[in-house]
Amino acid sequence: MEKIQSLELKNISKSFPGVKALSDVSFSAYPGKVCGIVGVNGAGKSTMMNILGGLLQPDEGGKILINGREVMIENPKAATELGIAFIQQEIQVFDTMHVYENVLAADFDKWRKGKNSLVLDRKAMKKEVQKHLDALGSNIDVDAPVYSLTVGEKQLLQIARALSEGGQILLFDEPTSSLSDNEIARLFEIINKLKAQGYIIFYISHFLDEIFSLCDNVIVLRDGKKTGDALISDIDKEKLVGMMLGHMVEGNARSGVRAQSEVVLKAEHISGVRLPKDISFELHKGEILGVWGLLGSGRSELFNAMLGIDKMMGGRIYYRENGRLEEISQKKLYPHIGYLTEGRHYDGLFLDMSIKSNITSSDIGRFASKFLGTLNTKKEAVESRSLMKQVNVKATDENMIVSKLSGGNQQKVIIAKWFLKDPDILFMDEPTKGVDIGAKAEIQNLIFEKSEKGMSFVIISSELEEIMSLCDRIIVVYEGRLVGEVSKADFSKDSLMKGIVSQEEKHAD
Amino acid sequence: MRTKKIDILSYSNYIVLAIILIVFAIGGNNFLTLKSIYATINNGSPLIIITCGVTFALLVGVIDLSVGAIGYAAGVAAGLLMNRLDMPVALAFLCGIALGVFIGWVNSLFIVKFKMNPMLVSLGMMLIIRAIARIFTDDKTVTLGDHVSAMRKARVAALGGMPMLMFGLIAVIIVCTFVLRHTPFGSKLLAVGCDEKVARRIGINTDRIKTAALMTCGGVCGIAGCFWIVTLGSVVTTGLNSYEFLAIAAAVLGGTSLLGGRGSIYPGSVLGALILLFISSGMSNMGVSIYAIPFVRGIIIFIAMYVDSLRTQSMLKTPMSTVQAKSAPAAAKP
Repeated sequence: MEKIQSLELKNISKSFPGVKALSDVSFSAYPGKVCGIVGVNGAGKSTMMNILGGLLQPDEGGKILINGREVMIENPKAATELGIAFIQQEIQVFDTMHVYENVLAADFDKWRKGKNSLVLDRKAMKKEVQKHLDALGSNIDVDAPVYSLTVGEKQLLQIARALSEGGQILLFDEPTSSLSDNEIARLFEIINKLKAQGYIIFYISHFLDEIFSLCDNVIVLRDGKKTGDALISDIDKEKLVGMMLGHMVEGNARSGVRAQSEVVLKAEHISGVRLPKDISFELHKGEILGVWGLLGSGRSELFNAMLGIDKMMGGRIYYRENGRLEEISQKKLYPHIGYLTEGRHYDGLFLDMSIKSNITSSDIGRFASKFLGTLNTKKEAVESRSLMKQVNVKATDENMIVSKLSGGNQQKVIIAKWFLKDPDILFMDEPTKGVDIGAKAEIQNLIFEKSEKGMSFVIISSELEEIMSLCDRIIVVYEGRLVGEVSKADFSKDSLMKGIVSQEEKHAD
Repeated sequence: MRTKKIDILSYSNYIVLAIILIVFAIGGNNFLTLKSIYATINNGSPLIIITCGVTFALLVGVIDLSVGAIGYAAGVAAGLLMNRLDMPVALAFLCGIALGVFIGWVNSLFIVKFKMNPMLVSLGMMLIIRAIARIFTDDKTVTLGDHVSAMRKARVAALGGMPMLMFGLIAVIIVCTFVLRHTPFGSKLLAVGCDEKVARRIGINTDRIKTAALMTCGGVCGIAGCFWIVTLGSVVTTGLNSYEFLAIAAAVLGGTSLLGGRGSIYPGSVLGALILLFISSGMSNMGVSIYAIPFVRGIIIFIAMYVDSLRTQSMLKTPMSTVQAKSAPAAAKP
């Protein structure tokens, strides 16, 4: 394989039904440089990388050139042959196999003792892997079983795999999201080493200080468009954040401050296994509290730790019951709350069941008779119909299977489910993710309506516009810590970013 | 500490087998003689080989319930070809094995191509095969007489009267172990079983590997069928009944994971099968009621599953304690 001197992308667009994930993005990359790619969720970073990795095809008109020649990357194999290696965010290893087998797993047949031999030349395999591991400065034993490795070491295997496949263009997608601080330092050492050896490196991250300490230049995407392409030495964090977020309409859909009402929930020093770290906040009756932070900041982990989904390593939770604010266990808190999770398909719905069954699942006991516990299906149907009407689910009837609904309607079914339970507090993780604009507005209005009636909300959203128009107060988390609290009067992009930027700077010092 | 624990667990089968042998040697009557050990292994060779076969399927995450029936079908086919068409023994055996490979391929067609549930496909296959085999034999025992008796009776005097057949058994075990351990196919098999998605993403043709695994499984079970009719000297209609469960239990006993990706022919599955075999032969040697044997086997399977879950848990635990220790030197470097 010849040495790659340049990689150019010209006018790359990618449309999915209803969405333009990338439009007209062009940039180039050269050996010995680390190119950072940043953007908020849904900006098109992953689409970009998947196109380079051969997992997606760009629309007509876009061109990819290597050494000035146009290439087609039809599938992951073609990408490998061109020297492009994708180091994915989820670690891709075989836990029950050995280190050297993992590194060379893509092509075992290549490692037979001879052309016509059936036998694997394990000695040669180990030697080859040892070579790459040495080059990476690692002392992992090639014979070790992979399950005994740490996450960082497993990731190193992926890098070794990329090198053994002849990768010259390395795409790192959020490589630090599950690493410890030491392991991150280690990874950076390795990336710098690879950079010095003349590899072309792409580095996607949500962590701005990583971008600043590692990259030579940075490409910013927003809503599928390139909004920035600069040498890292030419910009600072605030400028970069500006490119990522753009100018926003700072609408205000709700007036009146609810912070004066009584506190219904108080969290003190909540800590999880890794994230969050020591987060405290109060929630008032009827208040809509926003939790804002970048991906990986520990937002969802905060919910999971508080609600007993994950282990809570430290902290107390107080809940107002019978007029008094008293400490409560997670198990006892759960009946009083609702939790709309981020993964609609993953843990939000029973996809193969009817709308009715999904809605009533949050409080099925209500429909059971006292004596034998038999279900009153008629009552179930009536109540789910009325809720469907309330949240405006568009479906033929309550018996329709949920997987047949559109994303927005599915989300409304989840909301109807929690409205049926009618908890005092509703936790929502990305309530409008992947929902069209119409449904988004409807969902926001439902949240307003319910909060007027006294339901409190804690809402995670990646979209600044949304969280600012929806919430009465926003707490900002960064790397698992609470770094700021902004009240309605002070809402602005800058006030929210300030907490994060100041933390990044603290890091840099 | 961590590695030490796993080491003890991975030798657990040798320990269990040794304990069983000792217990029966003390409690039994002439149990630990060469003759009785040879007899147990020789009569158990169909189970040992079927366990080897089903291991190939289990390793790619397919619980194949038709393995006993495949052995049965191969035995019936070979027996009928010898008995009714006077076919040479070797050729009849080859036909039986080929039938096994073919059934494995049909299984894979449903499981891999049509994405049907493996357990139900192979359950259906088991019923169909047994029905067809019974039609062909008119539900009557087929005697093989001279065709195989020489093979069955051959002994090696130098090794204390070891049956010649055992060489065949050992050869099968060696070949299966070799295929799994030393060929690219074996490594791919483990990779696919360990994580099919990852395997596909890094470029392994997972469908082809699964098909090949099921065909190998069928072929090996076909060999087991040949051993079965030789050791018995006839083809009985109830042959190899419920061997699929014994074989899967033996494989799991030997450390093969039902989820795929972890296991071995030797020592794993072979030792697992030997444990089950010696338990029953030891118990009948002691004069325990034959109805009690499945009961004890059941208990042993429970214990095996518990050991397996211990093993899985200790594997799945991410070694967090080593994170700090191992990366400390790296951090020391500026």
